[in-house]
Amino acid sequence: MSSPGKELLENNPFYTNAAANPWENRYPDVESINKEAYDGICRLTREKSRNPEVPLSVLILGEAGSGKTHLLQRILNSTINSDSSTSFVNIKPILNPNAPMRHLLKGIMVDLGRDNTSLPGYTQLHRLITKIVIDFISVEVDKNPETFDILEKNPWRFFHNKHNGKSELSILQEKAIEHLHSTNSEINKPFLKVLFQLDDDSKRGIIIDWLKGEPLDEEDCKRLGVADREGKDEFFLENEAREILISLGILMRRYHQTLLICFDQLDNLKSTDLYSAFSQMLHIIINDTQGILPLIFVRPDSWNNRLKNNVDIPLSERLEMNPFTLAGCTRDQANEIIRLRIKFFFQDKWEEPYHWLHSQLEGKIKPGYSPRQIIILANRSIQSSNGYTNQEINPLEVLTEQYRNECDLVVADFDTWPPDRDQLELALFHFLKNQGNIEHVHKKNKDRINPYAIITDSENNKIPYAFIINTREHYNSVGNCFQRGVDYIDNRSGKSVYITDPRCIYKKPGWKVTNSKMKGFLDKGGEIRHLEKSDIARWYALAALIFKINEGDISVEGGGGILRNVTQNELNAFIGTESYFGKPLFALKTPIITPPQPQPDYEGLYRDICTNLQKSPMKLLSTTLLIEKVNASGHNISHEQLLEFCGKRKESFLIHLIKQGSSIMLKGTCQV
Amino acid sequence: MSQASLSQALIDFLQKNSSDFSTVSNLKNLPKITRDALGINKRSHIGEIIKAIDPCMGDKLIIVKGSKSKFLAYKIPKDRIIYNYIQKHPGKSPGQIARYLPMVKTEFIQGLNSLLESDEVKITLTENYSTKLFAQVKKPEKSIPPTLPKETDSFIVFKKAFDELNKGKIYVRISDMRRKLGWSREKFDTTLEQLRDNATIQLHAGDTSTMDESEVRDSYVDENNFLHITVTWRRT
Repeated sequence: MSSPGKELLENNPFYTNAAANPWENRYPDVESINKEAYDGICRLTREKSRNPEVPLSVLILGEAGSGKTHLLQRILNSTINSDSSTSFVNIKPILNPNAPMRHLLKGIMVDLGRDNTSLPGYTQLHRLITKIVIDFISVEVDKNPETFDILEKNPWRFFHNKHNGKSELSILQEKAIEHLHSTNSEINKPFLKVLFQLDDDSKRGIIIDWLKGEPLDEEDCKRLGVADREGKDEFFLENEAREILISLGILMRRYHQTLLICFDQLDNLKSTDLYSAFSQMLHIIINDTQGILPLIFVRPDSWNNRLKNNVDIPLSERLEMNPFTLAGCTRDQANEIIRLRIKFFFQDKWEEPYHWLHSQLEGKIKPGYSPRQIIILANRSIQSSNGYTNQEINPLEVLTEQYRNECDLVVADFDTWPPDRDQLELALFHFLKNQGNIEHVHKKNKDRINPYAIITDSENNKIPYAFIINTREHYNSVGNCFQRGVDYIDNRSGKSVYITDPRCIYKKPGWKVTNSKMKGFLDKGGEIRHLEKSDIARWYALAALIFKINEGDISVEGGGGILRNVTQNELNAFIGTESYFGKPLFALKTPIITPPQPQPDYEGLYRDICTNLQKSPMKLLSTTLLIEKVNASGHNISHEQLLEFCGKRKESFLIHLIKQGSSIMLKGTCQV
Repeated sequence: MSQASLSQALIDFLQKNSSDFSTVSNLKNLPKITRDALGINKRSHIGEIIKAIDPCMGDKLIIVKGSKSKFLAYKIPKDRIIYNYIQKHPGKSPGQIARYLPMVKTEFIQGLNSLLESDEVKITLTENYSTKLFAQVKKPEKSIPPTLPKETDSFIVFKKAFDELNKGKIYVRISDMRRKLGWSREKFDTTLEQLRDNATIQLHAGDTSTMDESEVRDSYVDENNFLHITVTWRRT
């Protein structure tokens, strides 16, 4: 029988200390840690709910690893009941300084459109519609309180119940919108019109895209009954996004809802333009909208030395009115972190490993240690008791593991990474900058082309390249991109590559002019890289890794065992070394497109995954091993397919990161 | 009676009994005026009492499950409940104590181990190998009064330097403190560790990306090789 130390090493609950996404963080929370900040946020949320017009904001100062993700998760968990009056969204770092309103709107709509309430499929947007409908019915249709009590208890009925082929929601739509608009003329009518079509699952994708401020294809605009945004200038699009944000605030106020908007990873604001864009986002939330409360998470040094000096004085003073600091742990809290993590992994066999580790850590944990430091200490104790001595760790190896894990997390929750041109551009720019055979990489965003580079091919020819990244799905936009590519090839005698996300279309039978431009582009030697899911995941994962490095979220034990943050130079070295980074994001040789895999037998796959996990200790298996076992039962699925399959079934599976990569755990019993 | 008044009445009841907790069943002995306000009487079932007191918990009280009964207790850490109980009932064995406390066995063992480890509770063996528990006079970490642990010259000078450096900021760089004080490395590190161990200050990892090598060198590396860059004051 193996010792507790060996058992802990084999299934190490402390292997990873990297910050996770609050939506994905699966580790149990010690609620007494940072309770003061949590209680303060709850108090200000209540205050905002009582007085939605009062400009409020929250500033939370804390170092990397001080429990921010758990705090966010605690806030998130308090909002997921279908009858909660608080919604939560998390905004990724802004990359395009010219589109602050659209960036904010996109972040809000992606998270409000997530399937994360206690009712499957019922999003925070559904919750908002339910409030509007109940209000309308209670005022205009049936004043009997029992009626809307029944409706409130079964919010799905508006979306599912049909009369003469039409859903209750679509029957009520027109009158409910008129009723709302007559009392709040400021509300953007197309916004309401699109929102009310959420009962139609076939339109869900284009509804969320429109709500995010994206230009839609002409045909999709017709389906939603909205005007085409293509061809509108930046000012128009920004102004429209602003109107939708204000409308959302009005709805929040009217229905006594509070929207918490979390801004994080602010060390990624690297230029005056981006600081200005960040200020604009905060200004609209604090001064122009109601019922929306921004939570700003920032490292103390970054606040004092950078952010505070780069936003205007009234805004920085406003933010500093409600500051909270994330505190370290007491010894009891440290013990509790360790106990709960072990219990989470080892379930009813937690006591022996816990007592073993507890004795190993005796006297080592100091008052005020951050949760991350405690996890690192626990990991060190497990490693050293198994003969692994303190030695300098290669940061490139740490980045390799971290990058692999980021890739798995993107694949497992693809919806968190909707098509995003700015993030793809960030990843490509960093990749090109760090390749030995690529020079003069520059970001000048001109005529839809970005970035440019000069690439030396295998015959030592220096070829100018123009990369066109596009995630818009409008024929006009796609056609213009092809035209710009043709112009570049003609004028510079170079090459041009059109890159897009697998979820975005770039051709359609009805797009005659665009298709002809595409043919012209291909005839001139232009290339189209319509990336596969497994490839695009690597692009978004690189963007996520860049965000984390800038935020000091990835650390490594350096000389003398001293823990330090991984640096930008180390990230550059990692990206530039194929043996660590893996296959290039962009290779001169056009990749061979893998033929689409047949759809797996979902029911059989689910059953076989469950059976294999149930037979394994702790109901946990590494993704690699689980694929082997499942494919041995007659399936033929890839690493990405398995992660995506399990990632979409959060009620049954949990995805963890362990030393061997990702692993999958069965949650409860399987629903076969 | 409002819920706040009822909550206070429950707290008064615990205080009157000089205890951090009471079995729910024992709440039948609440003053009649409180029982009437809660809508319970001497014949009420446990479930009825819990339903009646549940809305009055406020932020100080909690209903918890023990090994045999349900309890009303102060919302304080479990190890404090154990410590206070041992202090009032010295010389009892762990088994004798566990059954009376508002927590399940695993919580009791964990809390007691933590107290033994921090020397707040001592264990002695009797002639027949049974064990007895005694609370130590030493104050627990959380109960340190909100003053400096010991007003030595070093602490006073350290605090003065901190106050001078933290103008408008919450976090002060350790390298700035070290340079301002100009002490020997050993004296500075020892003072820093003492203040940290007494939870007077808190040390933070911090951002080294904007610091030069000498600033990083003048920061502080602790016993576990964690590099600390900034310090905040927890107590005044």
